[in-house]
Amino acid sequence: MLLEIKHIQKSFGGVQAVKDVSLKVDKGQIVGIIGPNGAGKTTVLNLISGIYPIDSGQILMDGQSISGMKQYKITRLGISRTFQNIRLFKGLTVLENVMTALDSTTRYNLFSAVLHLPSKHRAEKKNRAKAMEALELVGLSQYRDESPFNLPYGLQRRVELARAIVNEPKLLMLDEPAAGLNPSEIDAFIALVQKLREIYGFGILFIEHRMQVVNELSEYIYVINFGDLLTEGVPEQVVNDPEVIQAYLGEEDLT
Amino acid sequence: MFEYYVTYMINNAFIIVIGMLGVYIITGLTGMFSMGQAAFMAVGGYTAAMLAKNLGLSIWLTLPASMIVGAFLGFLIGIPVIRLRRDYVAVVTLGFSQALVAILNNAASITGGALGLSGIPRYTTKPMIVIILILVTAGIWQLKKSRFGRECIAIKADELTAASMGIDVARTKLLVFILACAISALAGCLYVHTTSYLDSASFGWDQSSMWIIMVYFGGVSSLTGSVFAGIFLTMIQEIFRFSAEWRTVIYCVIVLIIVNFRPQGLFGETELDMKTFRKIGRAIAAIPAKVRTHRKREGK
Amino acid sequence: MTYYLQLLVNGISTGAVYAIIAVGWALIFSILKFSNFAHGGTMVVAAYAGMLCTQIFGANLWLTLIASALIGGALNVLVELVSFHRIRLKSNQLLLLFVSAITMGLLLQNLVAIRFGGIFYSYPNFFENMNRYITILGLSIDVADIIMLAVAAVCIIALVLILKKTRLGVAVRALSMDTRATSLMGMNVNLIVLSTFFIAGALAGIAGVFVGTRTVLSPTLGSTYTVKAFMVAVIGGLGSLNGSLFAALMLGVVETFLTSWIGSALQPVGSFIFMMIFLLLFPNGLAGNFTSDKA
Repeated sequence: MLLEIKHIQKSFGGVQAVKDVSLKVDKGQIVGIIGPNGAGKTTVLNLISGIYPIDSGQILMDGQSISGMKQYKITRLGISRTFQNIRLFKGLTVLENVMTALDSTTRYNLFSAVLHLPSKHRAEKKNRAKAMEALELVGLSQYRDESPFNLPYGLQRRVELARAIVNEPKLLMLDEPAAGLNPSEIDAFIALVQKLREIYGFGILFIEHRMQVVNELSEYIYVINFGDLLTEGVPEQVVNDPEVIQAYLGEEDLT
Repeated sequence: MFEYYVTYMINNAFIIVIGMLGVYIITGLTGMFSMGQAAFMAVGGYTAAMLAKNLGLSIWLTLPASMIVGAFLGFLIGIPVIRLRRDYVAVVTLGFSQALVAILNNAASITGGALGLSGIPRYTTKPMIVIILILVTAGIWQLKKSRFGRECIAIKADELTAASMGIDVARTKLLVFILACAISALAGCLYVHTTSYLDSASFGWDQSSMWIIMVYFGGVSSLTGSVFAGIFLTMIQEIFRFSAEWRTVIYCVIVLIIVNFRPQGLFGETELDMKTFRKIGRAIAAIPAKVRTHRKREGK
Repeated sequence: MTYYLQLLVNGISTGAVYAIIAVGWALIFSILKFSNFAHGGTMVVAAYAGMLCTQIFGANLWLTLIASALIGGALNVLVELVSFHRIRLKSNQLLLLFVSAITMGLLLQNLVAIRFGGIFYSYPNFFENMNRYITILGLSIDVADIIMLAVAAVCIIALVLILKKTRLGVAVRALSMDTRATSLMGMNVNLIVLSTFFIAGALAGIAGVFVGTRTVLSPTLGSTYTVKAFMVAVIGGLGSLNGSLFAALMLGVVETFLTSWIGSALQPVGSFIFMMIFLLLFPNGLAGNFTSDKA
């Protein structure tokens, strides 16, 4: 088992955002989390990435507990993510943005950096090549020296995706990756994610509202409502579940 | 006359700019607010002055010694604040600079108190200062173009996302904070060996704020812009020599105008490197062609 | 024992001045989420303006306080319009607000230095015809200090009443929680911000008069008191009124005791160490509920 979450709980100032959620992601498996707005989906991702500590429960990565671990350490264990509202770094080019994900594990020290020693030169060259590879995969290599904020929204999402995959994570978490994309972009996006999974073989845990993406991408689905696990199962089974339809009723169409 | 300005520029502006580069690293690159950076220049200055005066050490020993002392104090102060919100770095650096001035003024037997120290050996030469400025700037340039530079800019942009890239935010901040303090201390060492005189008054809040203004003026993210602005602003100080207060007022007005109407600073993120020069070159080269097409259109 | 009680009383008086400044600082922080480094500049300009009132019109303490408060308030509105307004509306970047604020603080301080620098000015003795010290329980207390404590208390109670009871107060509190929601509720955000700056500036003006009556005026008081206000804000917890109030009194007392133990010259060192220890123990200040990042 790649990621295993057991009965996690989290409240913010008396409001229970996550009451009792358990879920599993296998190696190379694509798992979707759906649920109405404010159900606590993003909080679950934030808890896994260590932005907040959990109140109770357990999060296991490769069988090792990561609850209470610092955010950067969790990332270094092989959990990457993207954000719902794209969070790219201002002041860095597209290529440099992608390279930041490699920097923390690059081993050269401050002196080699300042004096531009060969160890730095080698590492930088290697990282640049690796980042270019990731950019090529998402089809953005020609924008390497642009500021990401000059790119259209759909391409910014791809930069974030490249940044999340470049360090070859074991688990990739996507927070509403298709938000703001138009239908043709969505098709391309689904194909891209599937291609990336083929290449890297990582597991994917994603949150999504668009049922097209959920249906086509996920191999297993968890439904969260009011911080609780409503149901789980394979897509066909979950989408036709009356309880799920009930939860979404008045929320939005299931189409 | 010209010679006088060159001497002034090298002996004053260049040394001040080296000190300012500490602020560039902390504020410009990493987005922390350093408001007492001049205190580290004082640390370097007093360390060098005392070692040279009392022990007769040469500049090749006082230089590294002052940097080490500066780095060590940076480390001590950095540890508790680096995990906190950015504002706190401001208050702690500011508090430190006030405390330091108080100590310097009171340990009169060692530091000369408010009267200052004089008769410190003049070790520096003009070429030496120029070379050190170039080396320090080149080093920071390399830093900016390394993993540390990217980590700093990422931290400045968004700490939470930086951490989710696997960046150990606190460690990186502490590391560059220490480096910045060492560089400011280096400037202090050069300063005393150039002026041969030192008092605590020159390293107060005003100097620190001036450094922030310089870094900002040139463009917060642009190293070359900050260096340029530092030299430029120190040089025009010379023009306003008749009144330090009017000079500051004029600076402040200029900065307020920039901050409101060109918030990225003069150079923004642009570095004055070959890429930019080539771009400018191409733009200039394109002018005749543009003029020609324009004329043709006029002709029609 | 009496000696320490005496120190305590003196410390509380010092703390009261800090409190008036710090409460204004906290008020601005709570709605705009940044530290206004120009605050001390406003205070020092108002302090000199008050001094001019006494010199030119021979104003008494109360008139001087009112004049200083009005000038401080008006000046602070100007500060907001010149140095923060455009940035707030356009990018609201913390770094820009920071640069703008320290520049404005430096500007105000230097303008004062150009007009009044070089010569020491001080307030006249407002209490010439009175017995300046009264003795309570063996403690001799300066009448000026008692008046100052009373005025500080009145100011702070008035501020609390404004925040709790008036429409403006409700708006300010709403704004401190969420800017967007407040503007959605149909409130004029700019007007609220300007009013807040006026109130904070008026408080700074009042504080300026008391600073002036306690020491000799000098332009650098601006930066000195900016630092004090900032320290208080950090100790109290950024943006917390109660925390600031308590922290101001605490800092006043601590400083007074430190001065008596290690002398006024080394007192900044003591204050700095005190603040560092405090930050290590309570990284979020006394109130400690401010979070900076949202995921």
